[in-house]
Amino acid sequence: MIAVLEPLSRLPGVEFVMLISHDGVPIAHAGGTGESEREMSLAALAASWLNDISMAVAPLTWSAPERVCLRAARGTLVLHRSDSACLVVLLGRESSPEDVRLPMDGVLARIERARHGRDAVPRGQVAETPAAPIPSRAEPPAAEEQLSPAPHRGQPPGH
Amino acid sequence: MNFLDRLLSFGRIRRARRALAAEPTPSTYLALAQQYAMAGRTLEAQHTCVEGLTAFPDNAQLSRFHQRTHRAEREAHVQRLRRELAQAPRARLWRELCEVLIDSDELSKAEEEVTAWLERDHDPEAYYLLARVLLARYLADRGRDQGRAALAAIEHSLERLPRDARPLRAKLELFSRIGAWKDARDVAAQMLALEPGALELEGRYRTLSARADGAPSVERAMHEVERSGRLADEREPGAERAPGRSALPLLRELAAQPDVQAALYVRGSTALVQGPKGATAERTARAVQSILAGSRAAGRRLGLGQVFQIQLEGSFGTLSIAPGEQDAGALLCSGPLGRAREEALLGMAGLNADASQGDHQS
Repeated sequence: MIAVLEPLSRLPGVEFVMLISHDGVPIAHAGGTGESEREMSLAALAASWLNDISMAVAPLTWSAPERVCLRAARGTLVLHRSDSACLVVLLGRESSPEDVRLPMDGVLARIERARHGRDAVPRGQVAETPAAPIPSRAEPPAAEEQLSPAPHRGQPPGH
Repeated sequence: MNFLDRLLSFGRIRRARRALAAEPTPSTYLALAQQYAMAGRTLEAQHTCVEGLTAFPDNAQLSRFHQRTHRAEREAHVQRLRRELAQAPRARLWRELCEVLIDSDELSKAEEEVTAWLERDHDPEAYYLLARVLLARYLADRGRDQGRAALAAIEHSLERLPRDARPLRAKLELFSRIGAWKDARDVAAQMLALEPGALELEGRYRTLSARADGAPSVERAMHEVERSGRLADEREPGAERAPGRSALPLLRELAAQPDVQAALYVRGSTALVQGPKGATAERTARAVQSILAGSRAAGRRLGLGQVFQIQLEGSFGTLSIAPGEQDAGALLCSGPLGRAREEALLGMAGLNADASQGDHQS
C-alpha cells in the first residue's frame, strides 16, 4: 500500500499522504515527519471533519462528498473518499488542490483495484457459480408442484 | 538589468508620468507603478501606489500591486540579510531577519531561522524570538496545543531574560487576548515590579483587576478560544454594522448563470440566499453555516491557520465556500467552479455586507 502512496508523496508541494479508514484509523502513509502521534491526530481530525461535513449536508439529501479541500494560510488539506477508505493529502502553501487531482484519482483507483483484485478469482481459473444454499435450509417445493396435472376432468391430479 | 534596458526604461517611465499627469486614473497610476517596478525601482513604485490609493482608495488592482511591490521589497531585504548571515553570522542580523519574517507573517520561515540560530548559539534573544513566533502562530491559529507551546516558550525565555520586560509583555498579551484576566493581572503586577510607576501599566492593572472576578483559568480560556475561534477582544460576528456595501447584486449575478444552483452570503447567524426558495433555502444556508464552523475548527486544530476556501465535490455538484474574517460567500454549481467564479466568490468574502436585507434570510 505504501508503494502506491509513495509516488504521490514525491510530487512537488505534497507534504504528507495518508490512507485512512472512514472512522479515522490510519491504514498507510508516505512522506511526513515520521511523528506517529501527529499522523494519528491528523487521521482522526480529517475523518472527523469529513463526517461533520457529511452530517451537515445530509438534511439536503446529498450523499457524502467525494472530494473535499480546505485551503488555509499554512497549507491545504485534500480528502478524497472512496467506498473503502479515504485518501488524505497535505499540501504546502504554494500548491493548489488541482495539482494533485489526477494523481489522487489514480492512487485511489489503484487501491480500489487492489482491493477488488484480492477478492476476485485467480487468473487461469474459471469462475464457478455460487454453491446452492444449505439443503436443510432450502425450502421444499410446494406439494402441488410435484403432482402431474389431472388426465381427465373430474379426476384428481397425479394419476 | 543592463544599461540598454535602463536607458529604454527612462523613456517608458517618462511617457507613463505624462499620461498620469494628463489623466490621473487608477490605470495610469498602475501603469507608472508597473514601469517603476520593471525598472527595479520598487520604492518609487510603492510611492506611486500609495499616491494612487489616496486618490482611489477602493481600487483593488492598485492595492494588489502595492502589496506585491511591498512583498518584493521585503523579499529583497530578506535575501540581503541571508547573504550577510552566510558570510558573517551575528546576533543583530539574526534578530533583524527574524523580526522581518515575523512582521510579514512568514512564521514557518521565522521559526526555521530561530531554530538555526539556537542550534548555533543559545542566545537568550533567540528564545524570546521563538516565543514571539509561537505566540503569533497561536493568535493566528487559535489551537490549544499552539497556545500551550507559546506559553512554554514564553516561560523559557523568561528564565533566560529574567529582568527583561519583553517576555512578560508577550505573556500579558497572550493572557489578555484569550481572556484569562486574573493571570493577566498577575503578569501586569510583575511588570509593575520591573517598571514601577509606569502609568500605562498601572491603568492596565486596574482594568484587569476589575475583570479578574470569575475570569477563566488559562487552560479554560484556551479551550474556549479553540471552540469558538474568537479571541476575547474580538466582537461577536454580526455585532459590527456593515459599511453599506451590499452582496445582493453579486449574488444575483452569480445565481443567474446557467449551472449555478445557489449563491449564498453568510454573516453570523443570517444568510442571503439566491436560487433555492423556502425551506430548501433555509436548509442550504444552515448546511453552509455548519460546514463553515466545522471547517474553521478543523483548520485551527490541524494547525493550518486561517481558512481561505472550502470546496466539496460530489454527486450534488460543487459547493465552494470562501470564508472571510466574519462572513463568507458560497456557491453551489452543477459543474466545476471555474476561475472567474472563484475570484468573484473570494471577493465576496470579507465584504462585511449587511445580510439582514434580501430575498431570504435565515
